[in-house]
Amino acid sequence: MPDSPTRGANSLRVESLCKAFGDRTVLQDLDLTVHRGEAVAIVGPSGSGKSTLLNILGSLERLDSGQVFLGEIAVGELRSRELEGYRSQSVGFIFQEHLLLPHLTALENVLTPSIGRRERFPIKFAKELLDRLGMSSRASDFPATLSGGERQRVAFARALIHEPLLLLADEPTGSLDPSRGEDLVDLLLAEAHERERIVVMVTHNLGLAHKLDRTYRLEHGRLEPEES
Amino acid sequence: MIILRYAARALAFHWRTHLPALGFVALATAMIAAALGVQSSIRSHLHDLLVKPLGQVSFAIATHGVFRAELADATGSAALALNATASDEAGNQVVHAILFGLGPDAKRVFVGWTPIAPGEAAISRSLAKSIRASVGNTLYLRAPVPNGTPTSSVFGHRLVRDATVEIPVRVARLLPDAGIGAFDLNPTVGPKANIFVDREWLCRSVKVKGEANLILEASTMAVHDVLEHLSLKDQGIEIHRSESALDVTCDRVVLTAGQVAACRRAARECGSTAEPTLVALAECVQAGKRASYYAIAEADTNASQSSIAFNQWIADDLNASVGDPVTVRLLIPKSDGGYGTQSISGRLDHILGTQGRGADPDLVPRLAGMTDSASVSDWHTPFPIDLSRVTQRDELYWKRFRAAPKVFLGASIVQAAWGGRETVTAVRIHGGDLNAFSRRLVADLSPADSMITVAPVRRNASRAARGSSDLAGLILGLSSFLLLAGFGLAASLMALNFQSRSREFGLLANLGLSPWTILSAMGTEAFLVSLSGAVVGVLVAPLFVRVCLALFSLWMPLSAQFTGITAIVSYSDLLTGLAVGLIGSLGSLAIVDRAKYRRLGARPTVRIRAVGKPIATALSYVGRSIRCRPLRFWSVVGVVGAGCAVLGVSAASIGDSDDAGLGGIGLQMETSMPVPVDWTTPEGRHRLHFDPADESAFAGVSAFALLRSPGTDVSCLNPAKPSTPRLAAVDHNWLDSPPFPLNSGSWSALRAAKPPWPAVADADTLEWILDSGVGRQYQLAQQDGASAGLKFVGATHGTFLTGDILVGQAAMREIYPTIEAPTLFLVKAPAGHEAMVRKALEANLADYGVKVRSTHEILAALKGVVRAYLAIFMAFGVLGLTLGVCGSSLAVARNALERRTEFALLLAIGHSRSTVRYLLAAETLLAVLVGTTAGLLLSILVAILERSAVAWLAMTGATLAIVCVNFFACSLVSSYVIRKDMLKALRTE
Repeated sequence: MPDSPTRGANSLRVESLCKAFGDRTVLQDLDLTVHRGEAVAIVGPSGSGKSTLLNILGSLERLDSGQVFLGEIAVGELRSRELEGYRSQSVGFIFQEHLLLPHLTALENVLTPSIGRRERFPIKFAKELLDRLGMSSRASDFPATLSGGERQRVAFARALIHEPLLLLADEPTGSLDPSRGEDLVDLLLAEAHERERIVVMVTHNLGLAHKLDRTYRLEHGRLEPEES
Repeated sequence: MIILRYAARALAFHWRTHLPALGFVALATAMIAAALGVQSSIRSHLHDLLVKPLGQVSFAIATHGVFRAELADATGSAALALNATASDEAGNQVVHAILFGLGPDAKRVFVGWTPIAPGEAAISRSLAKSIRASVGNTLYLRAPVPNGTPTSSVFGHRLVRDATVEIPVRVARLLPDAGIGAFDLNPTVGPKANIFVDREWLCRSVKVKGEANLILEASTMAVHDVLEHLSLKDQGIEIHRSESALDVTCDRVVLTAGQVAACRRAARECGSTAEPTLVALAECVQAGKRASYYAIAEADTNASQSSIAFNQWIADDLNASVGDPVTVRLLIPKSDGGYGTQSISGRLDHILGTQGRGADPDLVPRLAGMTDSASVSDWHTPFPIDLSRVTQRDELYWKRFRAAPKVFLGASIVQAAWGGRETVTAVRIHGGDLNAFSRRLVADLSPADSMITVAPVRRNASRAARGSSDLAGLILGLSSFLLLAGFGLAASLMALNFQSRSREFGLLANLGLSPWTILSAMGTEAFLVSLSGAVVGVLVAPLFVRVCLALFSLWMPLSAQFTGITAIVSYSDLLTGLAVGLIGSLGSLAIVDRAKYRRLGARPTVRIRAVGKPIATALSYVGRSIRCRPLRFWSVVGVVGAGCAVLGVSAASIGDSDDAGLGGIGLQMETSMPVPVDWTTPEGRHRLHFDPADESAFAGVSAFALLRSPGTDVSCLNPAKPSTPRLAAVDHNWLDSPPFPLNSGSWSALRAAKPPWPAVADADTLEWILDSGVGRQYQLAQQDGASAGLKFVGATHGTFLTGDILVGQAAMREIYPTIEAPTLFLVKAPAGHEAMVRKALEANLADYGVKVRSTHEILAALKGVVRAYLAIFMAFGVLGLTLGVCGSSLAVARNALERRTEFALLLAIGHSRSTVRYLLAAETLLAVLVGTTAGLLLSILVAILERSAVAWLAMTGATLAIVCVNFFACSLVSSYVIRKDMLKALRTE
């Protein structure tokens, strides 16, 4: 894989971000800075716009005004093709419902981002990821035979296969039991601290949120730091 | 909530996804009901054409001779029916006309009939149209004289002008082509050339006395009544009493085998002896230097084959004594219309006195032009007579003894004068109780013995009206792809619907509902969809019937027969269509989705295995996707494959050459009157009075002459079921050098001389119209209700001669003994001369009622029927393909919709939109290519099995079109589905 142009950058910056759906303003003049090696949590009531914020950071949603910078890249100004490159190189997304492809094995799900591309992720690396997540023995199994926690770990490995700078997790523990959830959060922390990624996690769980480096509360469209 | 209510609620909620399935069921159901409706409509039409014109007539009692005037007058419904030709003053001619002489009481069976004046005629509109006649015009009718002497004998008139009479009539009335105007005892579809005149007047015109040869009755009781009143005279039998014997003769000259057998039985019962005998003409009888001419010779069955006996009269003429060497030269008819001789020489065996058998004129049957002449010089015979050789003694003998035989020979010699066939012209009864003989003969003689037939005409017509083919089955076969597409797509769509709702059904299972309850809910929903579709289908079925009838009318070569058909769809047709549509739809769904039902509620298991390296390419991703979702893929494959097969099979069938099946024969000639003279020889043409200027046209011309029986055309051009199939007998020329090969068997098998009579027919006729096959026996129904056993020993394929069942001459003589001369000729002419030959034949044989057609035209008409069916097949196929394209597009669209989350995920992890499009397009293209390949292979296999040439260009073009249309449609639909906002699918998660 060629070196990502963002590897030299060291922060995620959100400046005056605004987003509305029709008449309803979801995000209002939102500012956020997360440095490389940091893991932040965003909490807030249901419908407060947490997932929307995450989708904007991951370029799955367009912002109305403001800007998002990952290093020197202004995400909001990227065109469609550039966005594809941004997502495939710089962002790893972990969804609440894991969204594994049912017709692919665990290993193949991890390798999905490179299907059909000229440059492919090494299979060895994918296996290492699964091993790191304790899933090496289930590499050839299909998602239908995995438990919820196992599926989420495969999704985690998929999000890491291209070694993104930015790791976004949208309520990753939502469908897991408390101990599994804590394990997952520990993994996220490890990715941030040990591998110097930028981790942003959305969650309802205050306890898990406070395990991360910083916590923010998103309410009424505004983002405020949350005291631990 | 009860299951029905749950199913109805689900149906209402998912109506958008069920609507296409409902539509497909409706289409298939409509097609099924329409097929039945078309059959009902055509059968009803055939009933109007074939049965209604019969009026009250249910039975026709016919004789080859004539019934007495008294019997005819007593029944009141007697007619004199003759084959005729009708010409106008300009010489325009209609052949195969039927001339009916009706009595004043004909209205008993023909309601509304009013008598017609002598010298006038009522003709059918079809005849009037053919000959451009109108009321007031004069027509010239040429009809045979009834009771003519057989043309196979030296006494028979072979030239049409001698055997027929020309009768001028004035057209007084035009009859509509329904009712009596279309009256036909032989149920065939087509314009009728009927002419009705006054019976008494007709009898006078053809020189018979107030008699009839046809009695039409409405009931079996009336038929029995007539048969009970039949006298010997009605059966053609005449009994003459001489001193010590009775002579039984027939007014048709030749006694039938049945009549001879009855005479023998009656004689036995009376203690008498029956001696069959036969007469011929001795052109010359010589003894030493003396000769006597034109003496009647009789066959003496008791004599040896070489025996020669005289009566005293001729012995005195020749001054011959027993033991003297004598020569008898019999006159023999030749095929070219001339006469040859056959001689027998030997010693005079004995001399009979001029009494009893030695001078018995009653041994000689009535020979028109001879026995009714006052003197030998007044003879009007078909053979030439040199009157200078007739002496005073001859005239004196004639005056005293009329035609009494003078010479007595062995039977085989005399039979040569009758074409070599075993023939009897009189039976002499002597000894025993002669007074009781007549009474015994009446009791022993059955109408069938005298060739009096009782034809159940109404039953024959009703059978014919059922149609020559199973039309419903045919249409269903033609639209099979449409039905397959309809039911298949409906089932696939319903299955996909249920598949996409597996979470809903899983939830029901988790809530405690049993699998049976859930299955019942799904089944009820499917039933409601199928029922709704079937109901809609039967409602639109009448429209489909009209469309099908319009297609038949448009494309069938004999489309005139299909005009005026009323579209009829009976309640039973609709109910049958409804039931079959419902069962077909539910059955298809059960087949398509049976595996899913079994696993309902169970924890989902992965059925595929992942072996080898993980997938990395887009194509391997596509392959894995297909393996996991086979239904969608194979739905498209099935639809595309079937479409390709339909068009491929059509292309294979069209590929056959037009020239195959002519056998080198350029013209087919049919005549109303038999032509007993071989016109292919110069002598024959001379005797038939051909124009010498036309002689050059016949250089290099040859022909096969076939005897042809009455009956119905068995080719596909006759939509009516052939209740009495027509036979054509081939001669030794044909068997030595047949013009057509057989698919199986050998022509030489037709030489067999005993039943079951070997026969050959067209392969398609055998299969589709006669419901028989090579190697199978077939009971040939004859018009009189009798039947003859045939066995098919071979089949032709693709020839123009498909309207007749071909048999050998021995079979024809046995089944139809009265048919002596050919009426069907297959003419070979040098290339480029056919038009000239045709013109010469039409001009010179006009009196025989000739119709000459190009075999190219006949073959084209036959192939036109096949092409019409193919065209209809392709029309339905194209409609089915259109459905298929819609169906496969729907399946692909549904596929794309249900996988939006998958595709959104791929976008979210960095794949481009073009990659997603590529994946979908690759899956679609693969399905289309697999389907196309399967369809092509199937159609090539069919072509190989059918041994047909393949129209490769047409097939290639059609295949490419299918691939492109399907791929384009599916791609268009899937591109529309993958819209910009696909990523929203992730948000809704």
